[in-house]
Amino acid sequence: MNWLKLSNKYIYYLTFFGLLAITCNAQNSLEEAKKIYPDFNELILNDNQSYDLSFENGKLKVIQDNYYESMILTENGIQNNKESFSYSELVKLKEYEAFTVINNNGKEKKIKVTQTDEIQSGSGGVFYDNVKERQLIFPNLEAGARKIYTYQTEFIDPFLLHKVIFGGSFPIKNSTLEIKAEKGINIGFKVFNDPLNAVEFSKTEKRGKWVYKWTLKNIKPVKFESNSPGYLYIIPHINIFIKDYTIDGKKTEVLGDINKLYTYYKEFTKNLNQSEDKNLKAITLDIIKDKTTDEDKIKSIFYWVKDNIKYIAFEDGYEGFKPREAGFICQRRFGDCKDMASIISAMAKYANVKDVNLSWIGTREIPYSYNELSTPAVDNHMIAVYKKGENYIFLDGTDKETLYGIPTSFIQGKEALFSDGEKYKIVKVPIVPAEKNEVNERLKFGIEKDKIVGSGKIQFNGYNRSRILSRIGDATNKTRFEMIKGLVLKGNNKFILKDYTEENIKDRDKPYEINYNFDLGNYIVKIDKEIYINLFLDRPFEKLIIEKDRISKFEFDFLTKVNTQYEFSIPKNCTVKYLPKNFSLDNDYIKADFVYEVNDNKILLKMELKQKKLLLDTSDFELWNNTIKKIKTNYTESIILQEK
Amino acid sequence: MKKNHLKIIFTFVAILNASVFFGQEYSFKNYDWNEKETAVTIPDQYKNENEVILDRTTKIEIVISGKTARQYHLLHEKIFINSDDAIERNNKIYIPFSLDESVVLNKARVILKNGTVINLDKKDIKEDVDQEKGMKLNYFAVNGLEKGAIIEKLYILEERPEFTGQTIKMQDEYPIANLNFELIYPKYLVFKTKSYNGLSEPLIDDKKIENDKILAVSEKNIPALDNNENYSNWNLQLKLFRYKLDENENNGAKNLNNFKEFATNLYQRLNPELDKKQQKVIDDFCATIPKSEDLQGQIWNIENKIKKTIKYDRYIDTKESLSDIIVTKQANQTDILKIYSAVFKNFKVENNVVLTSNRYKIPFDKDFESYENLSELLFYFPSINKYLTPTEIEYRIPLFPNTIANNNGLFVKEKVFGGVSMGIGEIKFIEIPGKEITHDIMNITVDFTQDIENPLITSKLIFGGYSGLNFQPIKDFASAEQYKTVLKSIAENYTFEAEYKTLTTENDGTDFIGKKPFILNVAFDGKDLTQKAGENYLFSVGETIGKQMEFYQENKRTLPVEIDYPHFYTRKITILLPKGGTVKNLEKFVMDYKTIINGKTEAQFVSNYKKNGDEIIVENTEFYNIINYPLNKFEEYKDVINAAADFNKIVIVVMK
Repeated sequence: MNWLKLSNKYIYYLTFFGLLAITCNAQNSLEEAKKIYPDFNELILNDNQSYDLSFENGKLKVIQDNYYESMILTENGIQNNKESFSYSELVKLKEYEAFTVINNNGKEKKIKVTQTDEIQSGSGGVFYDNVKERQLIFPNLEAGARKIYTYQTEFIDPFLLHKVIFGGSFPIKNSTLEIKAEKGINIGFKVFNDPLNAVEFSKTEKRGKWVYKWTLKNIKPVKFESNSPGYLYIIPHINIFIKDYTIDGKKTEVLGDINKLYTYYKEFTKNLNQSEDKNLKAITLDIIKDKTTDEDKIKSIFYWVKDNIKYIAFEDGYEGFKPREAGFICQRRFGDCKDMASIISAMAKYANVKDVNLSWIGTREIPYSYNELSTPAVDNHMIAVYKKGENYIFLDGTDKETLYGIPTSFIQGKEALFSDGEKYKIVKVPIVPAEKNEVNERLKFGIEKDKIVGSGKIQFNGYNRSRILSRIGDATNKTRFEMIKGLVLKGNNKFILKDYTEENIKDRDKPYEINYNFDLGNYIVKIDKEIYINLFLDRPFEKLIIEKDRISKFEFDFLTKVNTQYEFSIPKNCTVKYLPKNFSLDNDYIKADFVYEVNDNKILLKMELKQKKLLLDTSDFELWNNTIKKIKTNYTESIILQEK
Repeated sequence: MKKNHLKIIFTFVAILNASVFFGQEYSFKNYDWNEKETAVTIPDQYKNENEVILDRTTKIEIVISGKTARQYHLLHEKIFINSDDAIERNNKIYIPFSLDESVVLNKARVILKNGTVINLDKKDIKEDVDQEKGMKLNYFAVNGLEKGAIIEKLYILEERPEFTGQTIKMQDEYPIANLNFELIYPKYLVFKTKSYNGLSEPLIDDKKIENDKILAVSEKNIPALDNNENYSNWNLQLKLFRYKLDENENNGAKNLNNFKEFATNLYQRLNPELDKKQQKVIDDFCATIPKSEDLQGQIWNIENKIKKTIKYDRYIDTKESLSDIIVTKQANQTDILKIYSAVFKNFKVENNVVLTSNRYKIPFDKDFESYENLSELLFYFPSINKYLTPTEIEYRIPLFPNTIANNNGLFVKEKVFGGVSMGIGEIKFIEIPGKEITHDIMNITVDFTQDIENPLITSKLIFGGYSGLNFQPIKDFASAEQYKTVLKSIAENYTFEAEYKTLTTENDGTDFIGKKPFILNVAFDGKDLTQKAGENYLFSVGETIGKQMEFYQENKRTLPVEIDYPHFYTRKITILLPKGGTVKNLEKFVMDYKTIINGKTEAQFVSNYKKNGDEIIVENTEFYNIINYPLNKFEEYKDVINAAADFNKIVIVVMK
């Protein structure tokens, strides 16, 4: 498809300018690029976005243009022959064009992309969002060929401009964001992750408009690292927003502070659950009939929602912002995060529990606070908040197993924004301390015919409980057996789980518990009259050494405490020849205590490990690694028994 | 993707000659569920299951009108939902179909335990189009689903008829209480069918519907087949039903949809007459391919050139001519076969095009020619008995995807009759590159002479064939930084996750695939493998060979073993002791386990040691010669697997 129309002068200008740039750097640029980027199959030459903010028929009009140009650097680079972009009801596609440029005997040759398809975008976790993706297949690719595409969209809602990310999986030579705004339009912006001020900024006046321009050059590709809190913590990016605009002397406020954001958000919720739903009310009254306190009522409502409303997300246009009616959600038995918040708050009302409100919140992958960035980019999630006296209980219905009283793990430490009468209130969600997520284990074992034989009881609390139970789900037979075995496995993979029982799967007030019998082969070492046994049958945190050259912070899903007691029966014909020393450590990251005791033909090893910090900064890495190394060294210590 | 491009051209051949028939309706047009049947009754045996398919009725009716044939496809299913996970698995329903097909009827309802019925609202049905794959998707979320409920769905699709072979799964991960399958078609057509893995044989009724036959398969209480055993092939163990159109009595056509005809057509299609201009483009392209005296080397060069200049993608539009493929540097399935064929012709390389299917998906039954088995592509070179995959960019001769090897294939070779070239098809077995190709060699030295508490471990790890292919291509497609991370994680398996001192590689990148093995050299401190115990040192020497697969607790094996590829390991560990040092428990290194099938040792783990002064040399070999191990040999097979896992746990006691 070609440019459908060239109504907008600006695009014409951009295209022209883009083409001019191409002809200038064509000759020998492959050789140059290969020299500078020898390790890459492709180089992005230009990744440019621009917004044109203008007035049309007394209204604000937001047009966005995108220009992308990359060069294939190697033969292997031809495999990356597809590019795509997306659009939706709120960001309408107006026009697009794509072509390959090759060097044909020293001359540039433009080959139009003819194979373009609208494909399913399938954004993760969302069942339906009406976001379309257009895929472009570039022909004639070879080393030195360039893939170029442009597309123009119109943003229907001036509150919902996109952030611009200066980075990607390939190196980028030049990335630019430009905003052209009529003088009656006030814009705001915030640059993140640019500690050295590498992003160049200019503001100039052109043909009666303000032109804001940000440029970043020679951008390294993003390095993928596990346990990273997310790319928004590392990659330089800009959030832009419209503060206000004035047409014919009339000023319209848009975004810029929390008040404005809250005003925008309130429009989506002000008419919610105004009429009573008989069915849901009856259900609510039935659930709470034996409950006397507000807290018991809200707890039973919360668990009913978790058990009965399944998570399915519909996010078509403003459906992504507007919670649905509680009665409708109840009837469907499914909903997204906003719907869960809606039904919880409605049921609380039926139960006559006050102070249960809808709350906007960002998950941990979003690094901003409401103060730092008061735009819809600051959050992506919704929960209900119950004010219990001076405390707040965060009620997130999207996760099946998380317990009442603790927030879902992915909102720990984040800010919740909710209504407090006519005003808003912001409250920080606490980080759940390790003690609440304790894994408690008691192990009794001895030696029978060169094997370790014993029994164990393990209890999982808090997040450890909810994470494990949601993984095991309804698995049966061998699948369940293997999962349980994985949870209780000790020593090495010759661990034989003889049998097991599970307790408190349904009783959320108690820890999830597994009782089991096992034996373990090829573990003890017996030489002549000596037996060597390492009592650390499990070694928590042992593998958590962080790479020296890591760039991202290191994030844990939640803090854990491990409390294990190993009780080893000394064989009758043996005496203890060697017992390792006790060990204890306490710093900002971990508290560890390993204590050996010998009494009544038994050796007890008490192992306690408590984690303290949820997000490790790069400056923490060295000390963290030293801590783990110390723990590891103590793990390797064995006891020695001497046969009489 | 329902059908591949190669197949489509032949789909209608059989039916176009059918005599003109006046249009007719299909027999189940008025089929509906019983509105009144809203009681949830679950047979006792299923009451405690998480999920049960209570009823699955499938009807496929072929309707021929004039020269067009359509099929109507009905699915009516009732599923008992009895756990939270079962709700999550079933509360989203997706119905995919091709762009030239349509949904005639789409209903769903939930029947709750108390008899309440919740019907699907038509406006809740969403539709997505995928223009690239030529597919549409109708989907919806199921309202009101609760534990203990039944979800009932019923849809009818109008489809392109399937005549060329179709295999239907009649068993699942969940029990099926009642299963009914019907194929309805005009009397003058004859279908060939086959039931696999104990599925009952079909019955044919030619009375019920005038002018039509009904071919029916019914089963009751089909047990769930768990899909959780390592090294197994679940899909092929299920009860399966296969059918295809075999005869048209109206025009006397017999043995329809046979491989012979397919081979002839395919050959013609892949070997078009070239005009001079096109021939020149091909010749010019061939001139850029490096020459080799050795045939395999020449084929390797051709494969490398095509894979590095022409992008293969199943969905690329078909090009008008061979030269267009070279100019636009793009090819779909047919075009990629054409280009290889033309280049091989230019180099006078004798070859067969081979079509087959993934051995983990459906059986390739040489007694039942089904076009489903012709979805994967290979070239075969008879004079060297090797294969090449034209579609997978990371492979090079003699390696090709193991999922399509050790399987039957349709070999299409050229034969000249009176000066005219023809394609002749023959079903033959595609042998998988053997253990001599996938041979891993480890040379590990553990040096205690400098520091008994912290021995220096130097490992040269050589990965051959398929084993090397797991690592070799990464360098070409990852950035240097990413590649470093990948190498580190590979090395960790052999260094007990210790930080290494040096890490180097040899023969990485596609340039070495099929030619040389991938080599990883790593040196690291062994202090994490060593622990002090009184006066002695315990050293976990077994860990140096890396983690091993185990079957320690596989006591009730139900499926036979099927592995990905034959594999041979040769390991040598040299332990250098400090002067006068001794090791106490060397006898642990002596091991010998075998799996003997038909008098032949097909899998083995043997280990031994030698001691010369302060030097101990441990040597072991482990191999798996074949792909399939019968269930009655599982215990022997398990012993071999577990022997390697036991070796991995050997700890020696080193004394000064």
